Amino acid sequence: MKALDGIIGQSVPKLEARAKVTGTAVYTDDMFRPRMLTAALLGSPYPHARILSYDTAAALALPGVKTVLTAEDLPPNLIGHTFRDEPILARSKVRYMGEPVAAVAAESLDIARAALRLIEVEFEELPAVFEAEDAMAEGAPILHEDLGNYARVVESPFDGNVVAHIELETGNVDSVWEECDVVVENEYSIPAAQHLYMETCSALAEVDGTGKITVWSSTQQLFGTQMAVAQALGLPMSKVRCIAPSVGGGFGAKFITIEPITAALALKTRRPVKLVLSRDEDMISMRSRHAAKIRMKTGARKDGTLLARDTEIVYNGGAYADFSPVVLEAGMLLAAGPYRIPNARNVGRAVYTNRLRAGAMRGFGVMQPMFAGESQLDELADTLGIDRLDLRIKNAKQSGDKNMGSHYLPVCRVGDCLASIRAHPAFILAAADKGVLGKRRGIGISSVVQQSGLFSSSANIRLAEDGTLIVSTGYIDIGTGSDTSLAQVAAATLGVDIEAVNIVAPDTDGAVYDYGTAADRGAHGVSESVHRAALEVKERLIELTAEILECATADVELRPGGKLGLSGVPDIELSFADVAQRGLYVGGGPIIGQHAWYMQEQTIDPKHTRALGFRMGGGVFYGFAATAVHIEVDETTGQITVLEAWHAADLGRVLNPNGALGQLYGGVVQGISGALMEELVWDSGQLVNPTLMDYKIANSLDAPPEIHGILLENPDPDSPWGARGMAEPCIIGAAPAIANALADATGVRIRTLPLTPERVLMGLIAHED
Amino acid sequence: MSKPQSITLHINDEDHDVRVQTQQTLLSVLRDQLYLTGTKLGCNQGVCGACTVLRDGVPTRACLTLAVDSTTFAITTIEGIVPADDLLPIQQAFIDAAAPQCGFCMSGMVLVAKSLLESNPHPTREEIREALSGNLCRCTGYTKIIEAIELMSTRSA
Ligand code: FES
Ligand code: FES
Repeated sequence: MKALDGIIGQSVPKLEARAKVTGTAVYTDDMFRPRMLTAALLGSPYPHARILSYDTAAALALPGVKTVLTAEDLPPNLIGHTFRDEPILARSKVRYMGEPVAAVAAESLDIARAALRLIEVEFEELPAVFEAEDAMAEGAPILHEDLGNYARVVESPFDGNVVAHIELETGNVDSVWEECDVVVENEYSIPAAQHLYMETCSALAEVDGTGKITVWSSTQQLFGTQMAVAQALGLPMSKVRCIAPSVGGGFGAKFITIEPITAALALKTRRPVKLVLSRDEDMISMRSRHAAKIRMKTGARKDGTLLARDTEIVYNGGAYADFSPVVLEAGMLLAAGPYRIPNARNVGRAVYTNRLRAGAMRGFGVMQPMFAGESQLDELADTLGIDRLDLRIKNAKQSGDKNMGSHYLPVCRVGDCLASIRAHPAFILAAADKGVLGKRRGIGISSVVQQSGLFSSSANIRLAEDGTLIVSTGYIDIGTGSDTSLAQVAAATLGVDIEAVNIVAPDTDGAVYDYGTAADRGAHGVSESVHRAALEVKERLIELTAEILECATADVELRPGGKLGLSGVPDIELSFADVAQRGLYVGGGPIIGQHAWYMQEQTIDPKHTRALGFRMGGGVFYGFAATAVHIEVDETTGQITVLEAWHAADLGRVLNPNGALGQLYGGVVQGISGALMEELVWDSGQLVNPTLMDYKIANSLDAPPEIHGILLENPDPDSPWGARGMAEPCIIGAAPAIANALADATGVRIRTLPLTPERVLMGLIAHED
Repeated sequence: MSKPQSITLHINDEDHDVRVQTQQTLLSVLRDQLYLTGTKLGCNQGVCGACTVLRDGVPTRACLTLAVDSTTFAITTIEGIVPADDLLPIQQAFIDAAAPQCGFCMSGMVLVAKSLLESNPHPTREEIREALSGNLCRCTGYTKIIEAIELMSTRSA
């Protein structure tokens, strides 16, 4: 008999693949409603200014304009993921250039855009501050005078422009520097970068005759969006319905975007309103990854034993808090890297500045300190004269170890990740290839850790009359393949074919609850909900079958293909449909399974770690990985080419190998892209490169022709199928691996990203002198 | 704004009479007037390739093409490359290789792949990378898209 759960670990084709290759998958901008209006937003021309007055009369008078909204037309409500510090249209002041100040809904986009030019807003410019260090200085302009009065979801000490301040210390860092034979200390700088999902933020809102608003949008968070729309407009959540159609990527940015303002326009006009940001509007006004300045010091014994690490980070959070306090927590929890370091101190701040808000991005808070730490580890290895891989493996954390805060690590195979790359035949060849004069080649490696899992998830599974399954979670598949892997989990738990599973589209009117597509929650957290809901369905199926067969429940067995039978008697068999219909029409009722849970954070043990300002806990579970690259450096142009890459992921049990590899390849290339070419550049508060022409991301020639994905399976004891998320660690390691490869190839150490040709060339010139 | 003019576009083997502005792009006519939304808007600037259509079989950026300049060509969008209930072998190869992630770039990728394989049924990896270089994908790292084209090349051996 074939195993019930044979579908786990198979490369089942993605459920929506056919729709996506035929152009029939529907994204928000692909939807049209009768009498639909088109919206446009007016951005602030100043990075920091008081709003004195508005004059919207001329815009309103333009034929085809249906409404013009400013903060004066909206309830004075603020929204935000951690602090409620953000109005949906700037209220009394603007805090970054491009911040939406007014919104228009009109019969066409051309008319809406023409109307924007007729809106007069009188501003009084205020001194602005763009760098985090400057924003912390005495006398710096204050962005949020009301900081202390904001409602808070996450508590953290704050002061002036400092949104959050955290200190964590394990052991006693200051006492051990003398014991260290070698100490390396340096500063590192990470620029703001962008998610650059291919589908820009978009929303469509419509109000029905009862006053209920439906919002379709490109989002990775369904219920948070519903809450934000309700909060911003002063409505009960019972009057707001949110639906996610196909989503063209998110990478952390699509957590409440333009839905509230689109809903406000629909509410005002009582007509459907669509708002789709142009690429430059999206880049100017949505979210970035945090720029960070890092000072790091690491000390070791002669034999390479790491003794201490001291890390200080300042994250530039931009104009609104958004996820900054939580991004900071993630960084603080993991700045010491995937190593056993008995004495580690992490001090961090996230700071308001007059730039675009920084939010969540794949690599959440951790890619910044990991760049510093992994660069520094090579610097340390070279000073000690120890092999760079050996140094990492020697100090790697092991299963059963503790992380900062005394967080328990049930599974940790970072050492095996490193060893598997070292043993890879192509890596051995690459390591021997040093290139030629003018085209130096080198290899670089890094190993990283990321924590994941967050907040609540749930699942509801109902058995339809024909024995198929209706699975609802509210989790949004933004391209990660989660719909397919959740369907695999449901199918495996009940032994049915994948065709018998209907994954319900995310809709707050139908789905149960899920926090959102973040922190690799799908493979571990949401799949746990689906698994447990399916187990409940199984229990009801068995109870009803026992009634039908007049036998004990213990004598009923589940058989593959959606069947139940009497143990030991192959001929006595019922289908799921038989049992479902019996429930519906004879007795027992519909068969429904449900599960709801909170992914509990680990707390900080004060006996292990001294903590200041750390509130959330984090560390539901940890994922580990190692990345390596083989690069060529053109010594005349400074251009780095990544010839080949390796990524080994410690990911528990693989639910869908093709899906996992797809995530891995995509993450590695996004990491390479960030390392080599991505940087948002502002001049006096103005984003100077808000186009794909000026902000380059990797194309198919920038991506290495060969990426070796190594999936190290080591089932997680806490997860139903032993699966853990793996889409975050794969983006983190590329930047330090490339910086290390550059040093390997040329001797040039660059501690500032991105590693542009200009920066590399200057490094090469300085190195010769 | 100029006066709209009436033109006839030949799209997916059908004639479409549309009223367009002189400055209106083919992309905007396809999406907003003909509801052929498989062609995507990613940048409106000619960089991302999400808006790729075939113009007399050649991949072309609909965001850089004026509708009024398109009347003499046969335009094929993703919806028109095969009957709606069918798949081209290259589309099947994309599915089998698990190429799509968010899917937003996929219409453009499929059309570029189709046109590459028509002129060069067995491209090298280098030729594939070169052919795809005008189409951005943020999700896949291009790896599985390249694998899909290689799969197709093996299948048509
Ligand atoms: S939308 Fe045409 S190239 Fe991006
Ligand atoms: S699959 Fe998302 S952009 Fe290509």
